[in-house]
Amino acid sequence: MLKYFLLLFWIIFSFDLVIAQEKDSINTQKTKELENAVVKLKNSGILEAEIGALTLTKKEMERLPSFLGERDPLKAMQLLPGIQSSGDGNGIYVRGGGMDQNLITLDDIPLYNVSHLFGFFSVFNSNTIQKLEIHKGGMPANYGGRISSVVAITSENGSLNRWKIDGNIGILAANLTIQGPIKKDTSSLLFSMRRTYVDLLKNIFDRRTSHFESDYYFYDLNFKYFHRINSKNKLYLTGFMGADYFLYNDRKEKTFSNEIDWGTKLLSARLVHTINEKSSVQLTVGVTDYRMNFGASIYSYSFNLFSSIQDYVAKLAYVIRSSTKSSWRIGIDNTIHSISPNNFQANGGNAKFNYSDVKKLIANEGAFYIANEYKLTQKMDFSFGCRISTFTHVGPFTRYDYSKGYGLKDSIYYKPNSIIRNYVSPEPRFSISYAFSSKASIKADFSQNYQYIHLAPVSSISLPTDVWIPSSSVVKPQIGRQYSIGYYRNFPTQNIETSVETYYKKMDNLIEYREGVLSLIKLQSNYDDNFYFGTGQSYGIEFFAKKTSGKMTGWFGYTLSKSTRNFKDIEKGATFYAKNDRRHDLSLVLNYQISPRISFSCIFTYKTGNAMTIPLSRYFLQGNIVNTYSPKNSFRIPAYHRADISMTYLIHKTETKESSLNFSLYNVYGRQNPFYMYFETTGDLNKFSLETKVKQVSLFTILPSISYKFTF
Amino acid sequence: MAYKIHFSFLPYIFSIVLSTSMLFSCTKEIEIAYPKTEKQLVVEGYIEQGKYPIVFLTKSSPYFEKIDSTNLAELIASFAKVTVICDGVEDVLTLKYNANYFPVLYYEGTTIVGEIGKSYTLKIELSGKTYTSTTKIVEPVPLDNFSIIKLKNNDVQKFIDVHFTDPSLRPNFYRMYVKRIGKDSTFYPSYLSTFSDFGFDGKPFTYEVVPSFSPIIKTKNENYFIDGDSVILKFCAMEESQYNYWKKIEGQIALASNPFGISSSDPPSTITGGALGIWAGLSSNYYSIKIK
Repeated sequence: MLKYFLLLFWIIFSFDLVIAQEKDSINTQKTKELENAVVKLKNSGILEAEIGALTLTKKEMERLPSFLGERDPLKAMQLLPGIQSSGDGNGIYVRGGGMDQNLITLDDIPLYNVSHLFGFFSVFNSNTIQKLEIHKGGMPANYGGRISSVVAITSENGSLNRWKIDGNIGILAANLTIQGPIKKDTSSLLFSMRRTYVDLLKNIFDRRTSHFESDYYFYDLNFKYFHRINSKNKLYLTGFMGADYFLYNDRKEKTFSNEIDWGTKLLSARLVHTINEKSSVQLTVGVTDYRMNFGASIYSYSFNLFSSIQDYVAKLAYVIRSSTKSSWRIGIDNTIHSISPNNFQANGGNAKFNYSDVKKLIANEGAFYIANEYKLTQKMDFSFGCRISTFTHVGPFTRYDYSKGYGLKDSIYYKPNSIIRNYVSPEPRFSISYAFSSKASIKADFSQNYQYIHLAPVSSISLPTDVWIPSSSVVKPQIGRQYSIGYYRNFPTQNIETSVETYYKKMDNLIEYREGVLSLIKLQSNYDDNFYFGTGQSYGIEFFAKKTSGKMTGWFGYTLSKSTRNFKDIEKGATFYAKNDRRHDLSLVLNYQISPRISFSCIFTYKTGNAMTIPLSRYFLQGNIVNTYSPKNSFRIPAYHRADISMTYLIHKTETKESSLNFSLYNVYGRQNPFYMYFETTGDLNKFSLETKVKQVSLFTILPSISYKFTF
Repeated sequence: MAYKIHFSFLPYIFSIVLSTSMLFSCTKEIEIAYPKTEKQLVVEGYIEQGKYPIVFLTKSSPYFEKIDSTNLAELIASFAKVTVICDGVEDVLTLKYNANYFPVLYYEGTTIVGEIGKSYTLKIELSGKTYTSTTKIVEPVPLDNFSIIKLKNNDVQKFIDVHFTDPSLRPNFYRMYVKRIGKDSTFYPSYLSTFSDFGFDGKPFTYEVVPSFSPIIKTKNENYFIDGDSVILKFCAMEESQYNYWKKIEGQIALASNPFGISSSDPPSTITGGALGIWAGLSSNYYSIKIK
């Protein structure tokens, strides 16, 4: 550990800490923001009642070191306290919850897959993002459907004043954004595209001598249209499309072929009507779509796995400030889910088999919510909200009935639109804040949330093949209850904001795949046959300090936490650690403006290794080596830590034009972080020798990159 | 309607991710602080209709303990008293030698012969401890017929489709063994050999047989049958506890080389007294097939 602290020490003290003495940055006045219809009728910062809400602006994201020339908003988010990464990938776990428990929205419409390249890049092109809000505590009542967090991403509106082009050329991908007014000060358009070009370069250098042929690319397209219809009405249209394609072939003998493509599409329209200066109403409609197609063939066998999820979303929200002390938010949401968890087709010899009877699972998720924020005294704010959510699984659907788990007894067919199972759930939330002064406050909250769709992971890392499944009469909705309390203290003369938050979270009806169940596809089985159900608990304390302005900015975050699970059918109900249990999670981000042209940034992150199950002993039986295993997740892989540095040189800047060059070094001291561990057994028992070693595979040890950014 | 069982697709997904990550990855050997483990007795015992009971006794070893010719013999438990009991008759098994299997020493009965429908209790006494287990030989299920299928674009490699009708209104559990004359020293489970009638109770079923191979005993590593192979299929029906045990082992083997796999757990031992392993009653039908 000593060398890590020395490294930290070096990073911090190799710069002159210039703390600008600027005026008090704490805004203690009530603010009203009707932009994007997010009406914030509460004090920001110290006096805000909500706990666990953090915002990353585009500017903050742009200052961070890039990864292969790309700036990833989700990777930036992993540096905040309470948000844990899955390693080098961009998956997030919030306060000990699961990866599927985070609602990630783009302009208020959910996205089900946010990863490119098996999780190493996110689908969010940082050029098109205005801000990213994270609610990891009691989320506002207008959000629902997940029990751990909300990550709300707001896309950038096109410029209303002039046409401009932004671009970024990195070593992996390039992006180009064109934006400008359709009608000056009234309507604007933004269009952005990004694509990798590894496959294009490959075609230049590929001499076709390799036995295998591979191909990979991803791209995404963003579109935003903004129209100020009149002084009271605004219209926003958002479009997003992103996809990955992977090919791996046996070029010479044509015996093996594999193709995976997966992609996300989103379309939304939002109309914001300002009724008067105290109230507004917002209507959002949208559709989101994620689909994955996996095909492989070996000799005469071929199989194809397809899964998809589509949501059709409609939301209506009304916000009013009823008095100087009170504001209300009332709304209704409705989402129709259409989910194909797994459609599996196989061809063998001359026969073709379709292993899936269920083509699509249809469900309706609705909610009504009401929330109030009330200023009890000059120093005390109170807010409450209640969301009544409903979930209805409807036909067409066939449920197979088995006697004692084997032997098909019967099957029940549900007609289209007939109700199979209905859930109605109350989701209350309360929070209170008390300000000791304009610089210090204490806050506490409680929230209860329900989650009706679940991600069934097929492995220990996040893959595009992970399958979303809806609740049913067998799979109950996940329930999350969270209690948190926090103390907030600002030091305005130093431009520093600090906080300490502690939380306890209880989760019910969590799901896990039965072990080994996916090694065979079963016939005529229900999609929800293969799960274990259990509970989870997590608690922790988070420390956060952020310097907001001056030559040097940045933040420090540290989380001490514990996350455990109890499943009746795993370890005979005994408590075991969650895979993502992190005892320690530390992040440090520093940005330093060396001169008007040169800026420097660095990050350091340290987190306890994942919990995993390992083999303890082995024996020989019927010609095989059989392992006995440790209690579930009782072993720790080595800790993850790395530092990145980045230098940006501003080549040219005028009022309308700008260009800069960025050099980044990912994992600067070459830490070989464990991506995964495996056990390699060598020898031949026929020759009486056998030896086993532990091997660790690491990704991305010292990865330099350069990117060129321009605006004109 | 006939159904088939096909291969697992997951290993291919992982191979894709692996090959992608290879672009930037490096692999190194590491040392980890490993918890200490006790050696346990391992039982592998069978009683088949018309045959004497056979029991192999070994010991488990810590996962990282190097195994070579000097300590391999220590893994064999050759000083046990092994008894099989049926209908009040006791058969004390005697120690024998078979160079074609591991362990090379095994215990075989001389009195009791397996009969369909009967239960058999195994009692092992070793170092002052007693281990017991009971199994039953269930009704066998015959094959209706079989067909030899050649691979597309390949005239030499073949697999066997076996067709049978599952008895209705009772759970059935099956296991297929293969022996290629001149290639395999003993019967060895086929690839994904263990299955139940979950989903096809009382219906005709087609099961696809391809050979598997052992890292320990002498079997030839070929993915398919080859023209000219003389194959004997041994199709067994068994109890649910055996199905659960073999199924877990096959899951372990399928996930063993997959570092992303959902971690496995121990096969459920059918032996009481703290031993690992299985005591299995098998009802078998044998079929000879010439691949051509």
